[in-house]
Amino acid sequence: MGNTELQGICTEPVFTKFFKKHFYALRNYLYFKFGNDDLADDIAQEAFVKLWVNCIEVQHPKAFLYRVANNATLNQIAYQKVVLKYAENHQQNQLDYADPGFLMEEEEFRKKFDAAIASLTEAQRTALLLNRIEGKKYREIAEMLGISMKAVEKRIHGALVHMREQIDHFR
Amino acid sequence: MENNTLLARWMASELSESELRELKNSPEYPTLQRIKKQFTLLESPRTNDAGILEEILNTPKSAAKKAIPLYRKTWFAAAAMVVILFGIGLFFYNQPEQLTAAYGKTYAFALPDQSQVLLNAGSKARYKSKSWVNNRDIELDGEAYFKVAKGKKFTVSTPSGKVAVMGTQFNVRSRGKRLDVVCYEGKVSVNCNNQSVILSRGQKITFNNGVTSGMTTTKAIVPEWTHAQLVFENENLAAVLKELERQYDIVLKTNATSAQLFSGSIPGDNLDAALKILCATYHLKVEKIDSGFSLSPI
Repeated sequence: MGNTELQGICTEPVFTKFFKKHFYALRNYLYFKFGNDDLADDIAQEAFVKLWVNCIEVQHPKAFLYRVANNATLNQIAYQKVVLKYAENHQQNQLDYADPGFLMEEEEFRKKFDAAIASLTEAQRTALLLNRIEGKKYREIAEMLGISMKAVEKRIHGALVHMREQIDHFR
Repeated sequence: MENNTLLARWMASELSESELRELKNSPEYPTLQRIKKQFTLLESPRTNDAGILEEILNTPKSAAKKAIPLYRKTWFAAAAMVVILFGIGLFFYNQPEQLTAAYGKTYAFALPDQSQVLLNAGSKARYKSKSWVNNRDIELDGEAYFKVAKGKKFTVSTPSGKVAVMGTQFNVRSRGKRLDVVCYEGKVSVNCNNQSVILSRGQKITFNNGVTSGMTTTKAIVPEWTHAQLVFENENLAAVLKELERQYDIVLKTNATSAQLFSGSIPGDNLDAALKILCATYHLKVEKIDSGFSLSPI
């Protein structure tokens, strides 16, 4: 992080660019973690506000962002189930297949898949969804969570093993 | 699947050829592949990011951060409550003491440093007892006799002016626009209308509307009113009558006007005698009326 960029984060254009680049990664990380939309919005906003207000002192904006977010105390917050959002064109694709039996099987698998995601631990779910939905690399996830890359790989491996068992078990 | 990162590396396409071949031959592989494919149907959740950005940019850089978790709000409310209660406490703690001598009465009291104050009838005094030792300032509306204990500067504030002393006995009388100060012991500094006068023992001064005709002397060692003598010097009739009303707690009505100023002593404990003196001086007759007495020219 160069000096010019440090001062730049205090200006609206640079901050806006930084926000656009990092907002959804942070916000959806919080969403995958807590399963709560409003909470994810609030904590992400608070972290960015802190960055904006303290922009002069902050040396590593991204690290600062995740530190603030991870420090948020959430004792009173009830965990909610993460609702997975399917792409709109998913339905369109399905219509292309005329076979109703296939559609039914597809729908059934989707239910099992969602249930399997819901049965993951918070640590597994957060790492897996960041990778699969947000497209974050294991190294990036390790940075966000403040753990080693090896630990991220273990979580994702564990998540897949668990999901596979859940789905095949109900077959 | 003993390797505890194998599937993670498979997802990231980092498996060696032999590892991949082995995985593909395992009975779990079809389901795993389907899971992997299912993820591609998912979308990243969206929210009102533009609104959030706008709110952030509208936060002043020096302002307090937006506090969201409930515990911070309650903490803040508690802190605010403490501040408010403290403020209220301080307000009441610093409330001045107010002492009043009603018409027809005098009232004696001691200040926290044992200075003595005797309030004449129809007079009020206010002071702050909590900070008294460091700030000996008393507000006076009316007349009072002070015996001041040794200590820091002692100030009597009246609507007409200020009287400051170190340790002494003196009388201050503030009635309407007239200020009378008599010093019985020590030294008294009188400040009125930007004029400063220092009185020594036995000296007195009168300011009328901020104007003085200079110092005069008295032989009295305590104010005459403290033993029921009302002493006037060049006082107009209306002011004398007002003083009698205060001393005797009566109502005096008169249609008499006189430019003649009154100098002399009137008893403070004998209404008949007091009225006789006035009637003789100003050629008046007294009549008892419902609310008090009426004085009219003969």
